Amino acid sequence: MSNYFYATIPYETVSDVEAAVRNMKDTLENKPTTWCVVKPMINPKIIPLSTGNVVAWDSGDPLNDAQIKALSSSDTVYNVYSIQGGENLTEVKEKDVAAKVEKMRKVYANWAMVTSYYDKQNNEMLAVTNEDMSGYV
Amino acid sequence: MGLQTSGAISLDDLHVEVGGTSGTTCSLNDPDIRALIDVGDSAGQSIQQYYGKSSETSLPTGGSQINGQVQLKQITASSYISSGGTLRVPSNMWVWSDSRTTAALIIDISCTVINDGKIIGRGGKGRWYQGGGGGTQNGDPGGPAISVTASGVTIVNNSGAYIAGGGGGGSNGQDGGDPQDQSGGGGGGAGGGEGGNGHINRESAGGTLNAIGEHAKNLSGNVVISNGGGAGGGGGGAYAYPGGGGGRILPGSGGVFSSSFVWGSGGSAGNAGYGPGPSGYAGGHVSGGGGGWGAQGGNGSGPSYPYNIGGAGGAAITGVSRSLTNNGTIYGST
Repeated sequence: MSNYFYATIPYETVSDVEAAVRNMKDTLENKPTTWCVVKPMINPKIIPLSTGNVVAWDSGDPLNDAQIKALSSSDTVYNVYSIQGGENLTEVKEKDVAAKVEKMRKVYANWAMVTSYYDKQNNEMLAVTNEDMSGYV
Repeated sequence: MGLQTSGAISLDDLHVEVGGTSGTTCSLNDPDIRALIDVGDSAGQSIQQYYGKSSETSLPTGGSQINGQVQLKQITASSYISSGGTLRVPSNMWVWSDSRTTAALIIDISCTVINDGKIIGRGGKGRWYQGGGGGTQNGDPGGPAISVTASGVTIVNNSGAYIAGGGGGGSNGQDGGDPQDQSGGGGGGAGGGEGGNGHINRESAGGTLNAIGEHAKNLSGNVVISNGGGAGGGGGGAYAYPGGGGGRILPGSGGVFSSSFVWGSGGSAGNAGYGPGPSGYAGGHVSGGGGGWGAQGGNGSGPSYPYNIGGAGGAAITGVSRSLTNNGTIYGST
């Protein structure tokens, strides 16, 4: 029996919803591959064009959650793409990736409506109270 | 691909650049070689004039226009250039698709594509009324802008240019089984996705090139219920209303359900569509807005999980690995 819905998933009890909220908070803090794809741009090569030279890049393999969170400030540049929002950024410096990932997290959090859940029986949206999710939207 | 910008250039380099076979006879006075530097028959030349030149081909701009826009629909690179050549999309041109499963540009040969214009995929249709709960309630996914099917491809997206996958359609708002329900239709995704019809049988057309999608109206057609968007269209609401159509404006703004509701808003470029979330509110049956370019559609209402999720955004570039340089704007995965 589904009495409540949170982030598109049904739950039976408020306690179940609260557990889902805690899981969502963990996702938002630690699992960026839920809302973005980060790939290193590799093998730069100069392409001579009639209007001047440009640098073209190949894409490396997508980073996993731990790799994204461990990025720091090397000279590598990245392609950062928002799964829900569609924004696709290229040649992002490693030191700037975290800010882009956080911006894309906000798109996801709004899309999934992480600050509220639905009470089917009473046909109303209720604010999440067991965790402060306001900082994600 | 173009000749080098410094150092030695051989006559054979020039010949290959214009599509000749390496090692075969040619001369500096051959018309195709002279055309690289735009000089006449027997005119004086120096080898330095060839630095950085290419046998570039621009897409033809003299064909029929749509809404005043220079355009080509669903084209293939090999129809314009040979392997090793360079194809340029002019700055005033739209290369577009009217199919969610066919890319606007298919690159089927090894080549360089330079984009100065707009290459766009088809938007997903907002989910429509299913007649009492049967079938998926998800929005349709958006289509790809570019599909690469050959190796050795380089794509250059210049400043001011766009490569944009279609937006996903918004999900239906549906109460999950009641044949008398009043489902709202999902908004169409950016790229001309149709707004889904709600319980009333009225669909909203996607926008043509450089235009917003059709506003969704009531059955009499005299009241605007949900606004079409320049990018994603707004979702339909309770009382069986359809969703707004997705537009084809770049970058474009999303349509909204109405000025008094926040539910069911279409996504602007760079944003997903929005909906009422996991389930209904404000009377239920509220559908999700269409996604902006390359973005996911909004989630509709209704306890029919998992069948009311917004459609996925279309890819900007999909297929075989390729090289990319981007100084313009890209929406969608690459």
